[in-house]
Amino acid sequence: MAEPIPPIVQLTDVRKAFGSVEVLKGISMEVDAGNVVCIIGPSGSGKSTVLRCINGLVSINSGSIRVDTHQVETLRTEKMLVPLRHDVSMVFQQYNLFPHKTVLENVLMAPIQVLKRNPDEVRSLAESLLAKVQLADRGDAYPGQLSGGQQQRVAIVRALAMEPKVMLFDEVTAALDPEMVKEVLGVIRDLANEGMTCILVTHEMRFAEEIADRVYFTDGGIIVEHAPPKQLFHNPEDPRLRAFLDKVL
Amino acid sequence: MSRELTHALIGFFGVIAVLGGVFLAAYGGDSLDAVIVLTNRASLLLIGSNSFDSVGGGFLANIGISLASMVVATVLGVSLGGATTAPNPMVRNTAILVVNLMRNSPWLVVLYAMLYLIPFRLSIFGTEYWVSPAAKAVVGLSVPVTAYMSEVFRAGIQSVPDGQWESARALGYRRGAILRRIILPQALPQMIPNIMTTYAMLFIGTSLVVVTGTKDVLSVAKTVIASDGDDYATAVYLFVLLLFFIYCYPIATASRAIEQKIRKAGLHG
Amino acid sequence: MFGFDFSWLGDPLYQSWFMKGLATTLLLSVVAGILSILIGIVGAAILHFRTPFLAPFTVILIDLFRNTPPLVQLFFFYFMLSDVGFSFTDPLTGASMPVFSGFTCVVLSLCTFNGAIAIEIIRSGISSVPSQTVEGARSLGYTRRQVFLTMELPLALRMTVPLMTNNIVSIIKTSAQASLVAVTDITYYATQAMLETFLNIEVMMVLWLIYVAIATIVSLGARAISRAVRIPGYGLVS
Repeated sequence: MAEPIPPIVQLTDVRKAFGSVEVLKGISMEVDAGNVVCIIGPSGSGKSTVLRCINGLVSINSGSIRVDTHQVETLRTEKMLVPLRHDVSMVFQQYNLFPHKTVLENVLMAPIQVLKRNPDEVRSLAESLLAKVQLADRGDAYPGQLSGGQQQRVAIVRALAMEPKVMLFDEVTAALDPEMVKEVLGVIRDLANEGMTCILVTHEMRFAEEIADRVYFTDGGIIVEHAPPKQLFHNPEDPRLRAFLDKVL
Repeated sequence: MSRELTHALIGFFGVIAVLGGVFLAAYGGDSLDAVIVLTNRASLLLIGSNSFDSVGGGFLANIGISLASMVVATVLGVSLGGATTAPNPMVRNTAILVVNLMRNSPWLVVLYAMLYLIPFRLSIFGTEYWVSPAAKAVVGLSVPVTAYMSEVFRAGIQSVPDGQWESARALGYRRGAILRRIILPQALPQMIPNIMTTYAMLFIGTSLVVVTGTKDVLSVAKTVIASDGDDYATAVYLFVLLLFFIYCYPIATASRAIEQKIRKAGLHG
Repeated sequence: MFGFDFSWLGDPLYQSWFMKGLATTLLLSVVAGILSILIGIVGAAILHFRTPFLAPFTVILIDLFRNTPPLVQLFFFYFMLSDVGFSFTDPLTGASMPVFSGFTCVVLSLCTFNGAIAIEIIRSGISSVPSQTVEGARSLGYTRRQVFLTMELPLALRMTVPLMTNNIVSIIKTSAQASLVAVTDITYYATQAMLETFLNIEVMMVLWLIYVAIATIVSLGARAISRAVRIPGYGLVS
């Protein structure tokens, strides 16, 4: 029997408080390489905070987080966090593109300025990534000239240009008009099919059911239940999860 | 352009008309004499010398002092403003305290203080430097203006949404690089009207340097009144008011126009 | 302490100078502060109702007084109005007093400069009252005057407390220029004390601390007022 491969992301009893408000009360989670994990739950349950802890945007109070070879809670300075951010990219609800830079510049900036990659290589990577999301012709546009769906696709490309091992998606369709949700979900679906490790916080239950290898349900700062999607959505055990699914489905 | 420009022109010529009206009301039949006195003294008040081929001070000194102070205050204000947004609470609170102390100091008192704090002679690396009153005036005016500029920078930095910081950090940028490459390029256009307003305020403040003994326009005005007689004091001060107005009004008007433009762009974008 | 000499602070003479000067500075600031708010209200009303003749004239005066130094305005008033030479009889002493004393001229110069700013502050407050509020009141039959007096003005005043505070603090600081026309405010007495003690830096430090203390007290007081009159769910104008 082959040695089991350790999960690429592993959270163990992670706790986080903002002031006196405890947002995460002991979160444990494992994500295998190449898998897609969705986190669902009512707003304010700490879903987005989990993502921000994984790439070190938010420091944790106790517990441990390992991403590949990085022990995240030991990375105390922004400098120490740079290699982690190379391996973990994040896409935000509000896109957060840099409005004073063109689409192409948005994608090129960090790989060249932070990772010190060769500009020519980055440029050809960026162009092929933009082509993949059907935005090859918009490289010279400014974010303000694009629709929400287009901006979010650029944001995904910007994150991919870091050539990460793990992608974090924080409610990336929540700010979009319904007709634009599809185009963004399509891009994520392609990524998942290519074997990218993805962790999504989402309200799109049907999409989660379709794409996820495992779904975590959080409520009140803890993980109430986690299971493969079929089981979680169709045979929920915990009454809180049942109540939640009744409301959103 | 049309409406704003019309309003600006009405304001500009309206004020000049009011000043002219006061002038005529004050001097009546002697108005011509007063005009002649002003004409003879115009070069002295403007550039501090009796003929226009040499420069000794006057209104030009106010302009020079204001520009020098602005440079000093901008450089110091950027650092101080950055410090007021620092993540380290010690640095941040100290900076906020310093800003408030500097902001709440009367300009006149600071100018007096600089007059006495800064020695007349300064020896740097064995070389003796004579510290001119104008240099003291620049230092004195820079103190409150640095505080204002740091506020302008702080407000500018804070006008950029938090998401920009967050996504830049997620891409691996560090604080200094985020400020330089992502935040400031977005904040600077927002800050331009406030910078212009601060400069106009600083320029108005240059009237106070009269206490430092420079050859600024008010000092020259006092000399002129002393030699030509108190009768012409009203005329001379009206002229000085006019000079300040002609210099400051376009700056203030332009800054307001730019601010409205930015606000409109912000609403549509 | 750093070789500074503060022993003169124990001298009753200097103490009485500073107290007298402080009283004058506070009186100047209170009078000019109240007047500037009144000017702000009247001016904003004139502009709001677009009063014929008065409104454009007000705009021009604001342009003039905001864009020229209060010190030059002070010198101008001081020299021009002293020629005019109205005087009144002091009921207490029976002496003839000029109406346009140095004190009056300082108040006048503070009222023109900071009054012009006050008008703009209140006007910005009025313009940030939501149009729905005005429409709602109008549809209930309120006249424009009533809407102004019962809605727009009170809301504007409450929303602009922080800006008005800055303006009052500015008045206190600018009042230091009174010393330049021989009004015996605290700065004047401080310069006198410097002449006698030659302890320039020490006197300046004390003077500076007093101004900072007054400004801080006013700011803190205004913050309390701002909190008390704050309308829940309503922003402030900045």
